[in-house]
Amino acid sequence: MQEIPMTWYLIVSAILFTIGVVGVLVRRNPLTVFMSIELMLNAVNLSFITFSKYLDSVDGQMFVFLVLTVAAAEVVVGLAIIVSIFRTRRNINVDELNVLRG
Amino acid sequence: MFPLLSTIVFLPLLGGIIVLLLPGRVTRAIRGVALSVALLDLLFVFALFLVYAQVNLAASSSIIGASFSSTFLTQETEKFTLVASGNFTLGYSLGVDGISMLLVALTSLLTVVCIAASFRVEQRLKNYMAFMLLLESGILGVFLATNLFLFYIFWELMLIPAYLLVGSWGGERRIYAAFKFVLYTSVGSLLMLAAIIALGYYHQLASGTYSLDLFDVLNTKLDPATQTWLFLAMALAFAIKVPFVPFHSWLPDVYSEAPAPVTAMLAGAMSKTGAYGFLRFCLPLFPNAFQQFSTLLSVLAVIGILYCALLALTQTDMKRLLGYSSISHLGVVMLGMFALNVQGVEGSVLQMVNHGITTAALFLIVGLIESRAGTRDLREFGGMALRVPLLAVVLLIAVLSSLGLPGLNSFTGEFLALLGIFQQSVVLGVLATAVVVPAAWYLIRLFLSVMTGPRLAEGHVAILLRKGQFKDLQLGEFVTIAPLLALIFLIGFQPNPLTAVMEPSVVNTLQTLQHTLHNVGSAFIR
Amino acid sequence: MTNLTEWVLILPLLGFVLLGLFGRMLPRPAILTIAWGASGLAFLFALVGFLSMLQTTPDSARMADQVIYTWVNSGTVATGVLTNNVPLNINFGLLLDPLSATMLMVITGVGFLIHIYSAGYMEEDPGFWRFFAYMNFFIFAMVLLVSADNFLFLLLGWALVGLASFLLIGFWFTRRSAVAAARKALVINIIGDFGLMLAIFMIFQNYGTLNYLTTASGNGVFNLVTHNGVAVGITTAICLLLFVACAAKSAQLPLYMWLPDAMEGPTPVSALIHAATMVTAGVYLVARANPLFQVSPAALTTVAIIGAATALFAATIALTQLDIKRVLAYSTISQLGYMFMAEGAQNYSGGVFHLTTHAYFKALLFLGAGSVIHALGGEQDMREMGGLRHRLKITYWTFLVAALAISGIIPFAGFWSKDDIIGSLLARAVDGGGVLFYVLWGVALLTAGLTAFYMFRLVFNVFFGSYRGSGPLAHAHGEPEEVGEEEEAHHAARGGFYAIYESPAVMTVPLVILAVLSVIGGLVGSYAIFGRPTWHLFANFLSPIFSNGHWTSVAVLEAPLSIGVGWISTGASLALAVLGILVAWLRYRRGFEYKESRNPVYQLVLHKYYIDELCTAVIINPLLWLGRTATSLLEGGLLDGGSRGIGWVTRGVSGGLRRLQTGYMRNYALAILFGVVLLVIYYAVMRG
Repeated sequence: MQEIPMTWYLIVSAILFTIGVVGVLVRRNPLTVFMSIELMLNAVNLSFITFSKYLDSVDGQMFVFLVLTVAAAEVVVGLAIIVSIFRTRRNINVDELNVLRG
Repeated sequence: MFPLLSTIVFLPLLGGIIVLLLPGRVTRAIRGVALSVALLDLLFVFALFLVYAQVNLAASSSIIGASFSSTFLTQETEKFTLVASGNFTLGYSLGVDGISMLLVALTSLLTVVCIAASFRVEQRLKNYMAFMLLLESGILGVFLATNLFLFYIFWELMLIPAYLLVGSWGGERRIYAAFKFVLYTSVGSLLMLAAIIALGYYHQLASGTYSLDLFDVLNTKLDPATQTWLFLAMALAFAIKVPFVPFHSWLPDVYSEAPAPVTAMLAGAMSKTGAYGFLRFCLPLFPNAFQQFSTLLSVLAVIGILYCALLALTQTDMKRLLGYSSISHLGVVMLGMFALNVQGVEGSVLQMVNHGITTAALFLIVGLIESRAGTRDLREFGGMALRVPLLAVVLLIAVLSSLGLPGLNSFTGEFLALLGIFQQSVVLGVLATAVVVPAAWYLIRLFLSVMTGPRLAEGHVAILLRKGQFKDLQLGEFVTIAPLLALIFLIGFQPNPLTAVMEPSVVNTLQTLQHTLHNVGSAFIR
Repeated sequence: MTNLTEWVLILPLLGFVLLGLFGRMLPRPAILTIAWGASGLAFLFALVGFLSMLQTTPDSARMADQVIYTWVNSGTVATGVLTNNVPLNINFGLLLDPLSATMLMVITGVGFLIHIYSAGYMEEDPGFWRFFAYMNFFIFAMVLLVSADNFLFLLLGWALVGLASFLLIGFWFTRRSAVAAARKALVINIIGDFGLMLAIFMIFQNYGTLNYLTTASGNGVFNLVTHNGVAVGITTAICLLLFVACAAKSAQLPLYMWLPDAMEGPTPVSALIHAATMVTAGVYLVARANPLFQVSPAALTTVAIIGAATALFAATIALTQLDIKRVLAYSTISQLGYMFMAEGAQNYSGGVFHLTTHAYFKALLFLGAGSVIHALGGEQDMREMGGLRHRLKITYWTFLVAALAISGIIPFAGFWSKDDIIGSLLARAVDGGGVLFYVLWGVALLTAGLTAFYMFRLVFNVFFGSYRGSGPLAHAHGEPEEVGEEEEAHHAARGGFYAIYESPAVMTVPLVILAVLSVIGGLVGSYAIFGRPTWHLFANFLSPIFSNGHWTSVAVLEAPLSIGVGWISTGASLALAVLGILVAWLRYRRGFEYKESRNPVYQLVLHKYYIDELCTAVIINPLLWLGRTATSLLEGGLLDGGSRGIGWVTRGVSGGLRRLQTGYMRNYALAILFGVVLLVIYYAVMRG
């Protein structure tokens, strides 16, 4: 069986990342935005693993675990914030949230 | 071996946490815990004093001629590595020598006194006491750290409780004062941080390992140009803390707005960290730069001495007057240090201790008057001695001590410091000594305008007096101030024990300087 | 030799501590027991020391230096380690020698008498205990001053007597004038302390020690004077700085202003501190430091000139004063000028001799004035007196004795000492002092005449003629509660001439004792004019300090006057004194009719040459103005404004930048994307 070249993985990763970026930029529902961010993170994870495999080093996999952990923590905090915003404002449209304006 | 130094530094911190855990209603318990923690710490300091005396003074004759670190009492248990990776280490090490010994004793004593003096605080007592203890921890850490990294941490740690104490419990303009304080100090401390990092870098260049341990860094010989820059960066932080004259503008505001016990802590203990920093770090680390700038800084100190004395002459706010007087007196401390001879430096350290005692007493007493009268405007007082004779007596003692009456404590330090600078430069010596005249004038003016003159007939204070609400010194208040008054007399009677404790350390510090400067052929040390 | 100096020192201190702590609660007899006991025993111990010194032979054995404890050591460990180190070692030591023994006798003796007197004078004062506590403290400080064996503890005593003086001048602290006077006295005295401190620094810098004499515990300045290679200029500077301290303490030009104001204190205080003892500390210091002064002729000349100028200047002011105590104050300043003149002419023992006799008769004058004031209920204005010799007999006679003594009438004490001084000025002039000393001699003679005149002006005004007042003021003098505005109300209650009574025995007995001393006190120095300088008991007693090489290496110039020339001087001074009294008698014997003269010279003198006003205008006000301006301009405008300005700039910049922070998540995300794209382009294109 022929080995799939590294480029393919990277292309998939790039596509996923771009979808994520577009999702973050165009969607108004924070939940969808979150999912898009997850998509971006996982795209990065994919490329980490790819490099790890092709460079024959475990460093990349270590970072994947780190990213997974951080992503999980981030989701927890983020969802908590969203819930609390929803409780106070009954609305979670990101275009209407500008309370952090300087 | 028992980690005495770490205990001394962290006990107040622990006490502060305990205080925070207590429910806010049990004010009695909060006061009790805070005071007993401070007392316990004082006890440990006393034990340290005994240990230090036993180890160091007994061997003082053999100490001379050894290295800079030889007068330090550093126990192995109190030296360990915090972060180590490759050539990079951040260590934790505490040490005490004769100079820091005295300042540690002063700080722990002042904390006890100031906590006892704060028993009247009602608002958020719990937080107040916790911050006081935290402040003590920070100041003690600054005096005991022998690692620059640790020193910096304590230096910043000191700032937080000080900011909060001024900002939440102060007078009307407390927010303004607290902000000014923080901005001024953080500008200085950021530059200091840069200098510290750079010191470690230069040490790594020279020796291959990144270390900020004072005794490691001391072995690195810096070239004069580098010394100049690093000296300036560190000196600015210390100069702001002391404060030196163009950087003093935060002080009158902070001292006058902070509650009296906090001011007593700031003026009595915290201001000494700046002077201590000069002596402990700037002098041995950057000897060439220190020598190069000592003339300039001496001149600046003299200007500060006379200028602030002049300002104090016309102040009508008692605390502001004392604030300027404090700057003026600290000028003498700095001047003695820049004399770079034994009498000067010893006088300087002695005066740090004396200034701490006297200024704290003065601020506490003025605080008592302010809390009774609700004002600190000199013009609203007069003839109080008839009604409050005891208060008048303690105020007089503190005032006389502050104006440097021979026989009381401040004189001893001022005398040695001025004697030192006089040997170095007659002109500066004469100018600095001249301050005794305005100092006597404004301090005695403070006393006379509050306590003497015809009995008040009208005004807010007169009404209080008539109603009998202006009470004389209470027993509890007297007991609080009594240790300071006792020291005022004791040190004035015989300063020799204090100079004996510090002498080996002072000589060692100067010797480091002399070695370095001898190598580069300086003519300053004659 | 019995040395009890430490007890002379400790007892008054103990008295002060006891009275200060418990005086408020003690009954009057207990207070008096402590205060009298402390000062009386101090006198007794001083007397024992003095007598045993008299029995000690030879002269050179009449010295005991006692080290009590080490005050400070600094730099002693560093010897040989640091190249720039001069070890400083200061001990608290007590020196008993003829000079300090004499001073101790005067201080404790006169002090004890005044303690007794004060019991009567201060009887009705609510601050009774406080008064005696301060008085004991003063005795302690003064004893410390004269018996210290090094310059540092001299400074200590010097400052502490200043403090005692401050406390006692401001004793009636509800009076504005008393408070102002106390502050003035303190500040001017601190100027003196400043001079003394500088002198001490210079002494240490050049001689490396602060001890007077070389003893087992170290070197002494006076022994190093001649063979230490110190330039004469430096010694002159040291002496002049010492003299600044002397001028401030002893109220010499230009630092005399505080002494007349110091009369705001209770009269016994004026007698003890501002006449007999404290103000003579300057005279003591010059005498003590005579080896230094001997090296520097310029300093000696300065001392003599300032002394003479002060003597004449103060005497002229005394001519016009209307307050009984102020006349005496200016007279004190003038007499102190005499003492400095003597010392400037190297007649140190003459200066100390006049110090001693002056202590007797000036204390007597003040106590007599106090007795008058007491009898009149606090009245001090001479215009409200007159004819009092009929009511105050003892006071009158003792006062008369003192007035004769100060005027220099033979055979009273003042004659001998003043004659000694005037004679030595002439001797100095004849012996090569030149024109200057002839002038000084003339000034001294003129001042002697003026002294006699103003003193008898006082006597005739107060005790002769007819009574001009309306009886004693109804309230006791100086009670803090009742001074000031209410005074007018009490005038109605005055009881006329026959309500004036002689003071009680507790006050008159000290007067009599001092009167006796004022008569016979000069006999110890009375033989010089008969051509027997060796019979000058007083000078002989002090001679080890001043002339020979036992303890110091400098010999004082000995220039005995030939008898004939001596008599010229004596005769002239006596004639002038008698003339002064005569003029006063002619002018004032019928009583005193005060009319203010428009004569500008008179106005000038009456207002004390406007020196106070000048000082306020030239020194004090500009300083205060400078302070206020600096507060508002430099502190408020420059520094505070500077930091405010930085804050303002920061706020403006950040105000602009904050608009970028819209709060919309999408904007931030876009910005991030933009950044990422830039980075990608950078790496793709630039590094490509």
